[in-house]
Amino acid sequence: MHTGKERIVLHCDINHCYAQIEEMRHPQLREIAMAVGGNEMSRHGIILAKNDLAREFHIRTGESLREAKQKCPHLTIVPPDFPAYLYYSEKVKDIYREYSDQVEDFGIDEAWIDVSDSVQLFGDGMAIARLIQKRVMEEVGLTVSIGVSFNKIFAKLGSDLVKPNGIVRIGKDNFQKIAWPLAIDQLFYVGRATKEKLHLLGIETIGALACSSRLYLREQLGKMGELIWWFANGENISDVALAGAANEVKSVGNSITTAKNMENADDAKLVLYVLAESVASRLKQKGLKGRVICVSYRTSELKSFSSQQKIEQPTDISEEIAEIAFQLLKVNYRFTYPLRSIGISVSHLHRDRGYSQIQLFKSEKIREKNEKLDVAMQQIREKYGFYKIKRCCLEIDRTLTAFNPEKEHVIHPTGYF
Amino acid sequence: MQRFREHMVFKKYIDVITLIGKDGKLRPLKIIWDQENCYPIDHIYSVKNGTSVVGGCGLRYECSICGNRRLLFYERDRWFMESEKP
Repeated sequence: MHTGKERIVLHCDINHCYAQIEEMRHPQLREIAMAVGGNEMSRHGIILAKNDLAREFHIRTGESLREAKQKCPHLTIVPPDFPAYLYYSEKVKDIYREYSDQVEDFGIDEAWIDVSDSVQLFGDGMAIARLIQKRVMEEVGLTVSIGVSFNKIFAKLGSDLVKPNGIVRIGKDNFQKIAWPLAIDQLFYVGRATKEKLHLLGIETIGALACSSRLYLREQLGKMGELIWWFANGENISDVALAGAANEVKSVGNSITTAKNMENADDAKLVLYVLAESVASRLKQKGLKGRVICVSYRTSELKSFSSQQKIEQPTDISEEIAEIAFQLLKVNYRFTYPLRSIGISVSHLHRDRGYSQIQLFKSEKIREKNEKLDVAMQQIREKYGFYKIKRCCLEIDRTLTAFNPEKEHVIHPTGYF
Repeated sequence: MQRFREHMVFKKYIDVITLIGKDGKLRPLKIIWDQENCYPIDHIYSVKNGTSVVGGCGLRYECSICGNRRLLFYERDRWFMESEKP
């Protein structure tokens, strides 16, 4: 709970998490340039994490395995073992939870810990950070970088400054000295697009952002402009969530890089059906319906686009989601280049109350029928297996459609808001 | 089985006869080496979370097996030893 006294928030980040866990499990990997990467054969071939030796070859997270191999021909690629990463990161978080009940996960490898009420037991923020770092190394064999600050934003900034195994304190007394000279994109929630906009306004550092006019930023960048101004000035009062508190779901989505490129709209339609079924099924499991359908896609040239549409009635019906997604794709993309990956997400979620406002001029019969179909298919899949029932159209090209998006995604990205 | 080059120590997964106490704690009683030889664990000196030089981490049991001090690890759902023999 946020009271008047100064808070102490730690942000802990497991350094190059997947690669480090692999090194811990197989120490011989420490002696060679190694990266954890997806399967090149099924084209999920990107670098997910790399070790320090691979970093020396300028290998970047997110680049394709082919590019990485060009930079470092002897690079060893280790296939990812997501259940193991979840297990070991949970072990690390168990250690965090011994120091506070306010431990908020941010993805698999990061967490905020509010230790304001633990200082009487364990010492000040820096002492707790050192203790955590030592224990994680001794007990799980991993290095963590920790930022110690009075709010979540600067704590995160601190943990990004010294890697591996760094501890940086950004307090009220020194944040202008440490944080303000840093480049603007090091601030949380300043991505590529915002950075470019801020550069156009002549703002290149966090300090410049903090010293500019809040109202001007709001005018230029909207709500987010004001928000990052508060961030830059150290005025973030959001609490660290209690451990075990479930984050409210903001959107439900699935995406896939297909085994071969989608050359035309018909190819994409098949894949959209598989994704829509998965999204609809997950919405139903969570008892949610959504009003905004978003389709995102990446071309073979690795350029990404997305478009979205708001609909009248909240939906969790796969047929509707697929149809809208397909229309969006058809209107917005001409297939100048084939598509490499595609995704659907549904947001603006409402709890499914079991009833909904029907449309005066639209037949509900088809909706009901499609809804029943979804439920029946889900029941058959739960009882006999995922591949036991599917739409006929998915037989047209099995290379594109033979995947189970619900099972193949175990680690979902996390958003702050 | 993995070999750790520097110290010539090997990671060897083994069968262990284990007692699960009322409190849920694991107590290894005997180890079975290569599915043939069974060696009793005479004494457990310490139990704590720890990492192994041969890779991996988990509950680290420092114990005496037939008079020899050895480290035995419970890693996720199986046991391994730091062994001088592959």
